[in-house]
Amino acid sequence: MKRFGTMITLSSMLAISALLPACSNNAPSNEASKSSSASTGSSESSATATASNASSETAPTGLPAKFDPPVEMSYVSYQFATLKYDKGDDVNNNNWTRMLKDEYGIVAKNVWEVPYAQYPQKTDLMIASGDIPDFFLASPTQLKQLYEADMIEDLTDVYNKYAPELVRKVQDAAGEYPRKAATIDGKLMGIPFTGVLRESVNGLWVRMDWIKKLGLPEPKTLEDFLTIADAFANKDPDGNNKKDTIGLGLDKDLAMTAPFMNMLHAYKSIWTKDADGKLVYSSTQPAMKEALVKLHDLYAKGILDKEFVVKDVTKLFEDVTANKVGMFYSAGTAGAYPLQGSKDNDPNVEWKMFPLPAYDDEPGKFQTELDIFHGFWVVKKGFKHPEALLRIQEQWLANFYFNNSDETHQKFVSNADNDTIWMESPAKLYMPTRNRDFYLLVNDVLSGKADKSTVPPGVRDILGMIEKYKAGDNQFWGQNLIYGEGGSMGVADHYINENLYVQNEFIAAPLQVMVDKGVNLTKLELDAFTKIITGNEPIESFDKFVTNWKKQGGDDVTKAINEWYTANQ
Amino acid sequence: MLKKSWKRELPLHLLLLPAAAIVFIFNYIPMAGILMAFERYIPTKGIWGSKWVGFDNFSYIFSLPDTYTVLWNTLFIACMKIVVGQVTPIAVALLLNEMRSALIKRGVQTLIYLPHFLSWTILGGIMIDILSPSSGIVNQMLTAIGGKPIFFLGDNNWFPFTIVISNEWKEFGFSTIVYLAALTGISPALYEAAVMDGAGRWRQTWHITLPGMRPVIILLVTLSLGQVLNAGFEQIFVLYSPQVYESGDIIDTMVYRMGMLSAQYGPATAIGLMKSFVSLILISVAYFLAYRLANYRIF
Repeated sequence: MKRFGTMITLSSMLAISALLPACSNNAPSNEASKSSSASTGSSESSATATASNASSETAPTGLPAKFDPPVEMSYVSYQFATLKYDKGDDVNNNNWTRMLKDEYGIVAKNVWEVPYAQYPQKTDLMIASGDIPDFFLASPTQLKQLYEADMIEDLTDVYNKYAPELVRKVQDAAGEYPRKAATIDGKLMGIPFTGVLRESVNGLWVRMDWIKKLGLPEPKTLEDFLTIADAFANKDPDGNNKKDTIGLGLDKDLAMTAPFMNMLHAYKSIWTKDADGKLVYSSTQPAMKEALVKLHDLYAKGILDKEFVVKDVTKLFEDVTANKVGMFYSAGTAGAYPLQGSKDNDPNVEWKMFPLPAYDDEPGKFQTELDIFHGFWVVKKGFKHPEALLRIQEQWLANFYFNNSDETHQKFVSNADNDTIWMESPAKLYMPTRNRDFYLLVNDVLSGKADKSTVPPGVRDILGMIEKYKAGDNQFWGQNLIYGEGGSMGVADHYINENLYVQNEFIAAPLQVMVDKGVNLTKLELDAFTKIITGNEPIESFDKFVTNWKKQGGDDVTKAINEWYTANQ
Repeated sequence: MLKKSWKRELPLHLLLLPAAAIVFIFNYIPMAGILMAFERYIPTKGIWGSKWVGFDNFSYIFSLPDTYTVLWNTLFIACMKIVVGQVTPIAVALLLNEMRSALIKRGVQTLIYLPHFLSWTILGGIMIDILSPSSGIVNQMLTAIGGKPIFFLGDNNWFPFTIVISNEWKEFGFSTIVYLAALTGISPALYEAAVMDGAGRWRQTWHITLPGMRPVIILLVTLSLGQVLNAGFEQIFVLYSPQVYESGDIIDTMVYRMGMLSAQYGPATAIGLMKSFVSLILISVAYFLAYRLANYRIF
């Protein structure tokens, strides 16, 4: 479970880091946000409805226009490797901090800044030392620790009283779960850093040039899928007279098996509701057995890479780039990485992302985790003006997402010399469906429904790249694959509109019993699944796995989780 | 007399100072963290604030079904590594010593110690490629001589041996240098005398070279026994997979999974402490035996 969580975090990281530089000059205008919220349709309105308990009635009051005297806030942060500061600027003196100080009387003081990979450990150490800054981003586990050690502020009233409209808007768009996860004993202990999981659905990527070459159908049903996979592995699609192609790519941690299981209505390593409304562990359900049987079939027929058990995702992506893989599951952003590399190696390659092929009449739903990026923004206990954090977040949203001015864009997001200015903001929130929204606007323009002059600068940038691609520049092929006609974000759009997700219902920090039993149970599962898929154990051993899982602590965990669930409904 | 030599050696002792400081800072101070093995450690409360639980963490780790497999794997892999890790460099050193052309000798020496400087992160990717049953060069050679392809990294029977051999491939050149250095310390007069007595190459090796190397061999074996439970975290972590947990999971990878992935700091420390304790016993016994059997002392 932990491992899969890491995968999710990684893939959403990837989504963000791959996309932000890609659409470097984007400044979504007010029109953009309007039309995007219009097109979001059902999901957004339902999100607003469910999250209304905190917003609607009490309109925000009293967030001072400017703190006078200025408020000094210390914080710690992570950065991505691409960050660079303008000449003479540094983490405590840049366009963002100057703006916050001059216009709002907020002096953000950075205590330390590390690469993202080191952030979790460094904050763990910091918390252990008992000396935390005025605000920072804490993981779910850290949030719980901080709450229990009484080190952070209760933000319930602060949010209700001060949260600016933009912050509410983004929080509402993320749905009810993130805020629920940030709430402990009925108190809102952190502002969720909303993420982009829903638009990062792991669709099925297929080699279209191979489909054409072998005269295969598009993968609409499970049968199509199996035919295609078999042909990709056994009919020599690359024409080199060697059986060296992989029908469906998988990784050794089995993270990529989840979408396959989802197709068969089985869910990997999450907690789902059963018919009685109780939480059950999805990996031990009967549907999982069938999914494993099917995966074993694929393995036995040589459709999966015989050696997938030693290859991690990076290694699999190497195979993809070397054009040995026919299909694999990944987020829409795979168009940029690794697929652009596949195109660079062979200009004849064509890829396309599809929704999950249909197994029966019921459409396949993707399993999804809590939609946050890393964690929650927390404020140190006793800090006088926790509302200042909301102002920083509002300014981030206003300048990054809801801005139509080129000038602002160049000052706060990116300009010709520096496309990472946006990283300098002390606090951020992500719009949950931004890339999907951009895709819709791009396609409105491409289909002639909208004029290029009316869309925000960021969308115009993408249109520019698509034009270049159409003029023959394959460097922008990947961008076209994501945002262009029939692009991968269209698949995300479909899933968001139809709300085809199965949510992991356990959204709190791991309970103590999960920590105690977790290592062993995770290993048990990974071990059993790998062996069943590769045929080292017969499929009957699935029942043995379920028994062992229950006996070795699974029952205790289930009990504790259901207690948590009842207490938090 | 004593005073004089002390004065003369003072600069040499000063040279030791940085090393001693580093050992103190990085090896002794962190020992305080061992306390975590006896408590239910909670990061926000720190070492002094967390609850003491006595030996609970130890009984917990011994209640895990994996612990015994992991212990066995660790011992098995580490012992093989020690044996192979001593025999190969000695053999290679002896062979290189017989080499007449200094140019070839130095060339070979350089080539075989180069892999030592590559990290397992890099080598891991290369290993997966060259050991691949379908396209790897090792298996292509195997099939060329009529064998069947072997899934070295995905087969529980082969995995420990793959680990030992690939580790040896990386390290033997470097250890060889130490033995070559020991060889230069043997007086040529002994060989001349032996030749006078009519000893051939074999006799010279057996009666002069090997006894001459004995102190160094014993020193290195004794030191390596301290590592007996270090089966090599980095290498295994890079190369293993759920498929070979059964034969490849070692104490260190288990500690990693518990401590880093599941935040079970207490039990993870407990396993680490147990490992150090066993290593301490082993190295003491080895040192004692080396003294009794070979009359060898380090100090």
